[in-house]
Amino acid sequence: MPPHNPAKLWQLISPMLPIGAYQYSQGLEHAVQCGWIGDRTDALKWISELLHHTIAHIDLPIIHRAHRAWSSKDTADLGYWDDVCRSHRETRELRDEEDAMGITLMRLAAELDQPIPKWRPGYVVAFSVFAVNAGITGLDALSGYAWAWCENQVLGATKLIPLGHTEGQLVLRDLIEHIPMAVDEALECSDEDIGNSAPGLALASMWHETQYSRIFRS
Amino acid sequence: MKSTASTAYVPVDGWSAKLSLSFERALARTNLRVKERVGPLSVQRPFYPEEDVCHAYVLHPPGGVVGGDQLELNIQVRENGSALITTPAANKIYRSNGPESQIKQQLSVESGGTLEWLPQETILFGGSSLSTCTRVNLNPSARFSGWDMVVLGRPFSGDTYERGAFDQKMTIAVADKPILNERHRWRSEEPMLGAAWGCRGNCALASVYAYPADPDLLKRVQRIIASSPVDAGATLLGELLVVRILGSAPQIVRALAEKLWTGMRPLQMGRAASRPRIWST
Repeated sequence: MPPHNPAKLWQLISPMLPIGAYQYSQGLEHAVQCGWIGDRTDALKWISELLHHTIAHIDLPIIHRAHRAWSSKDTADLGYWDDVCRSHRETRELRDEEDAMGITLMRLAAELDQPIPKWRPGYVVAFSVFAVNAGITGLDALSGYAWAWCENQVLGATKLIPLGHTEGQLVLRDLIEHIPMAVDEALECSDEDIGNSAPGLALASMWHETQYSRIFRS
Repeated sequence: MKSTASTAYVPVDGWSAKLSLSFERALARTNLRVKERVGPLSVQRPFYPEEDVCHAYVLHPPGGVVGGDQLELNIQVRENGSALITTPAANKIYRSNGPESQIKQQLSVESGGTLEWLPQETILFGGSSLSTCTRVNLNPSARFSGWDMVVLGRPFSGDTYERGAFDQKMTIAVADKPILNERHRWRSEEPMLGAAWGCRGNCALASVYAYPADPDLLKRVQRIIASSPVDAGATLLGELLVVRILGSAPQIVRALAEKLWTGMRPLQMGRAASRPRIWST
């Protein structure tokens, strides 16, 4: 086991990582277009509540399990969680995002001489594989994923609403307080506890699929 | 609906009811066989308004579901069988003084089989506690069309569902591999019912599913949705079409769900919609 080096996590969650995360808003673009989100307060509410409702009940507990599976080279278990994760994505756009970012991240991992699964996992499982390969602990992977998700949502909100740079930082400051709680919720999640749908978000994402003019891919 | 029902005395101990049905293809039509029946879940004698398709009405416990009740329903459509299942009335879930009511539904459709799963809405009374687990397993050559409608409280009786708990799980699997997992879950104090990303303050929530589906069916569905006053959207997940509906009144949500079923049926099932008579009574 190489000595702990936190910079390995920073590489995985850096906006410079060429996986195109900035292209996806996960329904935020349509929610802003409908007027559901109009200012900093709305953005904080939308992002923080979804962090607890969906990220802490789908993405994070699955990363926790996928990290364990890839650490012990249990590819059958890894594949199982990959299927579970995809089945919880409520719209075609959200599934396309999961697939596209997973493919790009695994291609990058291969170019960085990392071992990768034989199939093409979605982003959540690809993230877990990369984390294990880089020697990032499960706990760091969960916080790191939650942070990267929040940062990307705030980035989207600043472009879409729009928000000023300082406003964006204020939202992030408040979101950071939620991350440890979301990680704890994820760690407490049993297998039966995984999953939460968000009907309004699903609608925004379905409508986004046919939105006439748009800048984001989800 | 009787407005006195929520205050009526109900026993604390729940009972179990189980009903297992098998729809089996004979020469000219699909026969219904009751494989197991325990407690107050039952099925009426089937009838055949369109010859080969077996129309069956499943009866929930008379008077609704109380805290602690456990209901289990197993539906099996055998090879080349064809079944349409509905219920004669909404399923009412009464206020519980603690224990959760549980409903477990397993639907499976074998090769060449067709299942239309059209139960009337589930009405969650304020203070009720319900966990529903529905699992649909389809053979890749099966056809399935179904919906799930939930009403929070009783908008016309002053019950605005201030308190309660529900956990509605729906899994649709093809050849035992889950292709969709949905879970609408809420407990008092949680933000989902009012949140923009959640139910947006609506009291009626529905999902409509169709398998197999293609981009033509999606387009037809999107056209029907565009002409409806409720918030609804559709998406195509591989070969599974999913529609989500949110509405401020149960009847407008239901009207759209029915319109979608009527509009999809000729394309998906190759027959015109035959509206179950029981819906009109």
